Amino acid sequence: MLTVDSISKRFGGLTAVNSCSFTIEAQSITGLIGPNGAGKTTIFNVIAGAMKPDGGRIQFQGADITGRPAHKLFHLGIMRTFQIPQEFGAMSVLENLMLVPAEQAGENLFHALLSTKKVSLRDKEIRERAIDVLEFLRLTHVIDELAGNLSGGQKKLLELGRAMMADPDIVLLDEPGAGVNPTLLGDLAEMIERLNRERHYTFCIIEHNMDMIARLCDPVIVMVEGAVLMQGDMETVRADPRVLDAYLGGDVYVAPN
Amino acid sequence: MDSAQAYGYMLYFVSLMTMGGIYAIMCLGLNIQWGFTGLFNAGIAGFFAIGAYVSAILTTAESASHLGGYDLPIALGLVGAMVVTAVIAWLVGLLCIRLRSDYLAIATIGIGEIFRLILKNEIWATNGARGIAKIPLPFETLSEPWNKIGFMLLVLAVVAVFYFVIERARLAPWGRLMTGIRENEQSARAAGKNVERFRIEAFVCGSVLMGLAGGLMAHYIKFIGPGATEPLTTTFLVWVMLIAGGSGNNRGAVLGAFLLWGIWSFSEVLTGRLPAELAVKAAYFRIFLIGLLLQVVLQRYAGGILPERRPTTNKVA
Repeated sequence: MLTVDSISKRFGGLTAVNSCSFTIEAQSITGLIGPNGAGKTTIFNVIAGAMKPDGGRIQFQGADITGRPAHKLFHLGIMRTFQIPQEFGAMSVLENLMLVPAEQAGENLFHALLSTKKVSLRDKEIRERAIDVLEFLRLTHVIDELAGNLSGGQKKLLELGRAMMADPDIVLLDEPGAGVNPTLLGDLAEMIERLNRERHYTFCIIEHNMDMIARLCDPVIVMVEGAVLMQGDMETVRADPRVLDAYLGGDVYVAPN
Repeated sequence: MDSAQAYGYMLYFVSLMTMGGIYAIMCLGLNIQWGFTGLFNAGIAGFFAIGAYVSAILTTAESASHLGGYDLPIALGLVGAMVVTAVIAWLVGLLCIRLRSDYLAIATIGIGEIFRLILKNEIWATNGARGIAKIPLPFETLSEPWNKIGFMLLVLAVVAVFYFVIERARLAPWGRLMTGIRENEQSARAAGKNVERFRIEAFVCGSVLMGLAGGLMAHYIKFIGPGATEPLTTTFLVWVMLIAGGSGNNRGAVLGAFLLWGIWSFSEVLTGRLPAELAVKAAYFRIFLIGLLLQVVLQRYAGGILPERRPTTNKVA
């Protein structure tokens, strides 16, 4: 469904992503792990159009989407969330969600001013969906709160909420579990499974919580120093000594069982 | 108080409301740009000047000293002012809308000044420093004070119409989207919004109101010259009005305009009564006082007198 082919991205002298290639199969939940600075978020930024790559190509559903702007990729069905929550701080939680959906006639100034019926019907529809999403995320009690006032964990949930409002084909989740309390984390994983099973969303998840990765993801892609080290199911990844090496910085003696 | 004095006060009140109304239109325009969308337009004077000169050139009788005039009805002059400002704002938007807020401010200061200097120096079109005189005033055939009252009512009606239109747009998905861009551009992009396009749209909408205000001002004082488009009395004052009144709140924008214009105008009355040698200094002291007032208001009311309020599920703010 999504093919990353030899993508490179440099920031000055730092090569964040170095000829990275992998494929995400339709309707999979693919995990993307690796130590800090491995280039995971950068590759998300490149896929989602927030950054242009210095080299390589990206294909999505058969089309070359390399270097297309973020807002166009959204309309092709790619939605991403952010590692550091990017909420609309001075807007209510409900507004944060209602802003997302495409095809809002009321975003056109003339429609907003003239064709009230059409605009308000669509807005009502979006509002109901947003309320459903908030119930799902257990955020109903903060519906009118300004998003900037939410806790770190609540902001992470709101990130996910925005992705749910988009109804995308593929969701790129950047550390959805960071800062979310353990009980909710279980629900979160369940929700991702449900969205995958029932709505056929494809997921690619960056996460440091290995339990969550183990529960959800197959396959798991391991990135190190800007490139893919290996790919496989969680068992294979866990068994590979190179992975442990990469996380712990090499030269680590792993005692044989 | 004798009747002549009362009449004088009444005329003063009419002028306060007229000028306050013209500033309210500019404030609503800046509110679309800064209050809703977060665009730092520091070139208000330029768009104001364009509107003023366009309407003046379109509506004055033919003259050898400047372009035209084309002797068109005042309504057409004002529409022309809005159309020309829109086109120019669109071009400016295409050039510099990608700049982040403080850089946009620097660019718009420059562009605003360029427009003003062009208008000042293209003597064939604008009569240069001598300006364009004999600009028609609406309701000119009525006797005083009815012509002035008529114009005040016209200005207030324009304020009311734009207030309702802009308030409606603010509460529609359009306003939500603009504020989303203000709050988090990156997130708005990830949600599929064409940020550049909407930023230009907001920039044009706001600038059109500044052009309209310029046109109204030209007709009101019946003369437009470089002195009438100084950044101090346009850009600076409008910014103070919006910030003090409440950025992001249309009622705040209108309130700020009338309040600040009242204070500005009244401080002139006061300083006018000082002895001559002090009066010169007092003119500068006024500017200082306005700045001080802004400080006091912002210390007391961080978001302005009527701060922005987001719609809630219980009621619409």
